[in-house]
Amino acid sequence: MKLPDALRRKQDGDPLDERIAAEMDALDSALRGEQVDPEMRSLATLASDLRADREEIGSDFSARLDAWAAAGFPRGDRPGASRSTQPSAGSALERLRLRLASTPQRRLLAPVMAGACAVVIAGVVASRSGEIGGTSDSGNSIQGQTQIDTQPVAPSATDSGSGAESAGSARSGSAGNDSLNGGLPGFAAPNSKGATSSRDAASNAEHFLKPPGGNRGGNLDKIRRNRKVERDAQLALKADAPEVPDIASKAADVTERYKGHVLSSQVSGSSTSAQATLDLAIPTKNLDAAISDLSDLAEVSTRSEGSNDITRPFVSARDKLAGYRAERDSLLKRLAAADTDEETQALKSSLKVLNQRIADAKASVSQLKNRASISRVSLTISSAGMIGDTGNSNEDGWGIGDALHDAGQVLTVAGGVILISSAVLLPLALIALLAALAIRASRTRARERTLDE
Amino acid sequence: MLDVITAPAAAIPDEAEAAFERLYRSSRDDVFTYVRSLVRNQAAAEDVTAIAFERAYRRRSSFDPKRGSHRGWLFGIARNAALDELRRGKRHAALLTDPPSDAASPEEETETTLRRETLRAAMATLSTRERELVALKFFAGLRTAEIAEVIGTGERAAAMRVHRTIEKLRSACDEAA
Repeated sequence: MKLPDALRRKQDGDPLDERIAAEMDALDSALRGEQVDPEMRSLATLASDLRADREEIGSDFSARLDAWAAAGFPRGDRPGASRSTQPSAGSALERLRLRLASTPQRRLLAPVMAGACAVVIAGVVASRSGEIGGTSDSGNSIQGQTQIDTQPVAPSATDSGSGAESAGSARSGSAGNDSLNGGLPGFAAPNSKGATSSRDAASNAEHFLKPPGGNRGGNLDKIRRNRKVERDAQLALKADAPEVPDIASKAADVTERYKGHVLSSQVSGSSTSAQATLDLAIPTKNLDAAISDLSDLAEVSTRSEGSNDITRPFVSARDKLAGYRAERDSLLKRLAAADTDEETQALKSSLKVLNQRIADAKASVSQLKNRASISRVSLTISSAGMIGDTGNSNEDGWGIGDALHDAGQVLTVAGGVILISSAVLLPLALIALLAALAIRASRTRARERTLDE
Repeated sequence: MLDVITAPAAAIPDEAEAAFERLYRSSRDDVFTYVRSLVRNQAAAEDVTAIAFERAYRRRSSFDPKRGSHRGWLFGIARNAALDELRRGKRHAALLTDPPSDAASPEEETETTLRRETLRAAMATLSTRERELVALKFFAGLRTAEIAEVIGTGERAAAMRVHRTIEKLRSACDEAA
């Protein structure tokens, strides 16, 4: 068995017997053709006799071998009597096997590892492609998000304002009054009077239950025709400190110009730093134009808009209202035809409850309409150094800070790819190494066994 | 023949090429003789010799002088190639035979001839491992340290094995006499 170098050296700890050492030296001298001690002459004779039996290389083969060596041992040209082990013989697979067998493992390791790394990195990058690359909040970035509210409004016996709550919006409106005005003072309510007669209620119900053209399309058609989307926007402007109050005032003018109004405003600061915060309510149909005019007042730091589709809860709320009205009409008819006092009292009690429900439903419908018809805009005007300023002094909106940020993201992603690749490749490399060691040990044992057979 | 190349495979390609060329020239015949004694077939020996030098040439840059001598490294490669050939020969049931030896005519019988024939007969009694040691020591002319590198043992163990093999040969010759 072939021992590792370190073990071989360790086993040579004990010195060799002197006589044996002398014999080895005598043999070496005899083989070099030197004179040996008379005591060792028999060894010299033995060496000479054994050397005489040495099979010498043939002249023909030695010439071919020398020519091949002089040419740099080119593949496929190996001299030898047998051609079966030539690289040019055999199948392509056999040729490849022979070529790999003659190539040092170190030379194979690099391309194999490079290929494995490339495959793993490609896999990691492909799987993370949706997450690679960051987003920058600085500059004129516009973010939009659209949310579809899919929660239906479920009518219940104690239903009160559930339409607004189930709509999924954070905004709240006034409820509890019989007006369709959502409770925003100073703003003209949409022109919607609602149904007041049973015929209207029924026709409304029919209208919602049986869209024109039959049942084809059904609820989807209804939703499409009655689409309600609430929108909001956030706008941050940057200006010099002394200009902030003036710009805030101009923003209020823009709001009023587009039939909106300022819900709240706050201006603070000094001659060196100032900030203004305004909460605006602008009709949704004028929102885009208003945002555009507001953006023209000063340099825009950030701008984002959001939308939330509330069509389904609106349609549900309106259906519920229509249902309650139809029910009330039915109760009124029964009340007119009541014979007894008890029956009359019972019907009046039911009517009372139903009227409350109708009021609540009306409020829900009104609130949802207002949410769709009025958009909230959050406007911030700040000078350099105030909160909200990204510190970007570059007029184009991208500077050294952004570059550093982006570079950091690139390095983070690259580091992540390397880490994940290593996590995959290192165990594979370890397994490959163990397999290679096992194969080498097996091959060595097989070779040694050959000598014993 | 015994000129051991100790120059390492240098970083500069020309020096490595020159070192390998020197090794080739000094070891060509010895490698063939050693391989021939193992595989015991002329054609197979030529094949294996060529394979050994080809492999050594391809791996010349991987030689580490700290691990041994150039000749020991080369003969290690040759040994593996020869053993692989022996395994292939056994698997395929190839007929590996020695060519018939030239028998000396009665007129040429001398003491030397008789002695060598006795030695030849004694060689036939050796195991493959022992025959390999004889080939490494006497045919290829390797030093004990180099033999130890080739067969993968310590120098002392290699010396002991060579000594035992020689003693076995002597005993066989004495018995025959």
